[in-house]
Amino acid sequence: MSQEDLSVGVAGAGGDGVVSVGELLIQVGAHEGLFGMLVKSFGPQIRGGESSVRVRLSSSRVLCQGDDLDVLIAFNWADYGRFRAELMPSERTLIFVDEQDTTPPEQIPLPERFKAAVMRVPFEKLAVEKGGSALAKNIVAVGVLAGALNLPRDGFARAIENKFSRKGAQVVAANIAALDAGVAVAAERPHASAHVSVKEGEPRMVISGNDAFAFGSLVAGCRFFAGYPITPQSEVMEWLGKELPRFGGTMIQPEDELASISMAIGASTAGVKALTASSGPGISLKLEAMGLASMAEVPLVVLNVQRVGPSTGIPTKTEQADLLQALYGTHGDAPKVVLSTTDVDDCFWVAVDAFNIAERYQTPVLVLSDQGIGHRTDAIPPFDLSAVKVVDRRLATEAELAAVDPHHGFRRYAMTESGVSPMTIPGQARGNYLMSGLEHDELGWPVSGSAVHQKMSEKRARKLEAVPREYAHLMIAAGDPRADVGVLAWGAAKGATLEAVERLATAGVGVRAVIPRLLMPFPVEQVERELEGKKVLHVVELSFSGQFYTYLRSVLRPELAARLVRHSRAGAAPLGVGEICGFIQPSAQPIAAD
Amino acid sequence: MAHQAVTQLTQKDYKASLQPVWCPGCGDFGVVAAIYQALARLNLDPDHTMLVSGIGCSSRLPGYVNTYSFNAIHGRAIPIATGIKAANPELTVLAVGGDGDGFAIGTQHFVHAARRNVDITYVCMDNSIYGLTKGHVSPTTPTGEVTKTSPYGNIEEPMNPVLMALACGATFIARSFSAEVKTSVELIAQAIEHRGFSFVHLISPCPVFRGRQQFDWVKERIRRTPEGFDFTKREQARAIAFEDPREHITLGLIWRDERPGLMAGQQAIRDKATAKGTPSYEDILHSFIPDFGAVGAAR
Repeated sequence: MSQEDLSVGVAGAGGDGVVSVGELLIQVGAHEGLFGMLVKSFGPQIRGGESSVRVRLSSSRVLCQGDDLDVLIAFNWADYGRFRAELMPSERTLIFVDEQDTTPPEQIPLPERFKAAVMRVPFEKLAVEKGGSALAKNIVAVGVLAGALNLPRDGFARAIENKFSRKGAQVVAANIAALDAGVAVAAERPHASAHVSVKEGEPRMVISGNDAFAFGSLVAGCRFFAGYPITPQSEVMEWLGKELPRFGGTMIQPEDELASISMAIGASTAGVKALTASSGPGISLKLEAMGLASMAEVPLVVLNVQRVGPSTGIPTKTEQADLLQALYGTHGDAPKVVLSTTDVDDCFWVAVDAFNIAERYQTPVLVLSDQGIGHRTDAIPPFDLSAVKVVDRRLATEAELAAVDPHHGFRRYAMTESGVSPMTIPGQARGNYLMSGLEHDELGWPVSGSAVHQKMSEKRARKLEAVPREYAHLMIAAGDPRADVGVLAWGAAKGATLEAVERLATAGVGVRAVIPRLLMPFPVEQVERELEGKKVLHVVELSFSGQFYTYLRSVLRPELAARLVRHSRAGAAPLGVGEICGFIQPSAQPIAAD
Repeated sequence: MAHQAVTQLTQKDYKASLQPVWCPGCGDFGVVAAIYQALARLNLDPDHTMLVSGIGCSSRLPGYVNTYSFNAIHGRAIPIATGIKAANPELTVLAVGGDGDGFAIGTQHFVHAARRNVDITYVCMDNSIYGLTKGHVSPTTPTGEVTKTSPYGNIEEPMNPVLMALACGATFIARSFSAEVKTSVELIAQAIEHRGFSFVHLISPCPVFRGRQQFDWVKERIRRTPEGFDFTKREQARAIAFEDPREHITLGLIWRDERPGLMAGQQAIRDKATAKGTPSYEDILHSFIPDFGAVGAAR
């Protein structure tokens, strides 16, 4: 791996300030121009339980949380043990533990070969001595990290000063002393081999996937949100609940998921761009109303921040197993658009696309994000707001409304070549009509004949045919275009997949990665063009049954479908880079030998 | 404020060209007639008025009214109407439907719309039967009644919509009978003018699946609110709400209360949120970029 890249893991009990360590690290990194990723993990307790963070910092874009740790800090082994799978050290990891931990060596939850190298540091003792309180032990840890990783001490000092300034000069000074105590401890110990170069004057933004989606929605013109609290979606509604009213918008927390999507449909019907969001179980409840939005041609964005399912599953962990529900969950032939976010940056831009598509094609758009993206915090270049283009729905003009036959009313569902009909919103004179979940004619009047149902089904499907062409930028293709080997992934699997492709490339193995963010209507031509001539197509996903593989089998032409190889497993832990390399390597070797 | 039509409209102006699918003798004809007249009395602009329904015989009603109309999905008339009103408070929004839609599959929305005091009018046409599915027991079907899904007689206690509305905090509760069009017009007009959640329980018999006897049964029991009745007195409203419908069915305005509605609350939130002005998107973007302020003693 590149030297310009480092990873840190910290675990401890509630009150140890583990999350603050992660936040300080990524914020200082971002301030110094580094890219980064912060993944937090918590025990099952509602409040105050054990927690861990994993932070990766790099001088280039961070794609995933990475496999190897450079530094691991455990405030105690018992709490570390609960996150062992997520924070497993490797040969290069510097391991620190608080010297107060009394776990007998045979019970330390580490592989035997690492136990001898563990460095015992008086985190809590130094915190009390220098920082005036055991509470400052996380700041001592920050100092140890800064020292061990050769990160600029002054950056941390500034961040700490800022963080504690409201508590007075004494508290600031005590915490700076704690920081320096940590730096001094690290100075006497081995340093990490990894190193990152800071870039002055290029600050990054630090934002979570859920906040990025909410922000993107706001910028796209969303002014109404209704949702029901559910992990891991709630941050979206919390953010919009605070920000929407500042822009004249509305957030409502209704009685259930059914009311949430119904209110969003109502708001959109009245002309206001609307969002509802949930996670798997809540999306199941929303599906009937999604069919209504499809049938009545109501622009609507629905966000699913996926978690481990089925049923309550593992609410705080990630999975990609709501794909087939998103594609096919609604009853009837109900055309809709399904998009996916592949990282935090994407959450912002895909939100903008989702609203634009919903408005332009008068359709529900379901966006699949997941816990891994939604809850993670990235340090990335600030969004270029000048690149945002907002699309609004096609409203009937005054001239068109003047021509309306008042006896019948406005032809809301008029047959057009594109399938998109001009619409009206309440308040537009002579624009009133009947919108309906019943099959209807051009006026919206209920019909039960086969011919009209056929024509209207065609109209609703025809509208969306242009989406893959108009939104071609939603396709991601990377790696060697001439390679014999392809890898297909979607959503959050992008990060580890692209990094695996890079790692294999440095080993002389050429692989082409294809990651469509538009999942329905599927960009068949675009994807097939990329896959042309590939001998094997690896499908990588976090779904026990291989839902993406199943889907690809049905949409790709038979000779390409026959080359698909499924690599799927149940979620909870994200896909790793090494894991994906292992999937691809065997078939890739012959090419490397060429 | 409600938008009024520029010229004085009559009830005919609110009648849509779409012909009702209701059976001859259906109570809902009386209700739609009352709605035309109430809209005409208030001279509401059809283009600033919206009727929303779920699914059921009575839920076809919005299609017969010349306003913006939405015949949506079963049980969701109230939340859809809430979303419309929240998005554009200048619209006059009515949700309409039947007892199955409002008090079985959509009960929770009624409960919370009343509690939230959403500024919409809800007219429930109660025929105590699932008519559209052709005669199944409903949450307001009287005990003992034989229907297609209560072949041995309904063993369940019927729901009391007026009592429930009172319990849930509705700020306007009235009851009418589909055959009493004048009373319905009066109450629906008042309900539309009310600020907050207004509920009109409109008993609307089904001659096909409940037979002529339902109509006669209601007719025999209806009476007006008593002389000197005060709809602002909780005790008096409660007495009517607790009436046994096997004895009496009181028509009229039963309860009215004044408390801020959801729209006023939402506006108060916006005012609070914008007290220091509205930020730009750039301001929000910058809030995500770490800034540790001026460098101080720590250096």
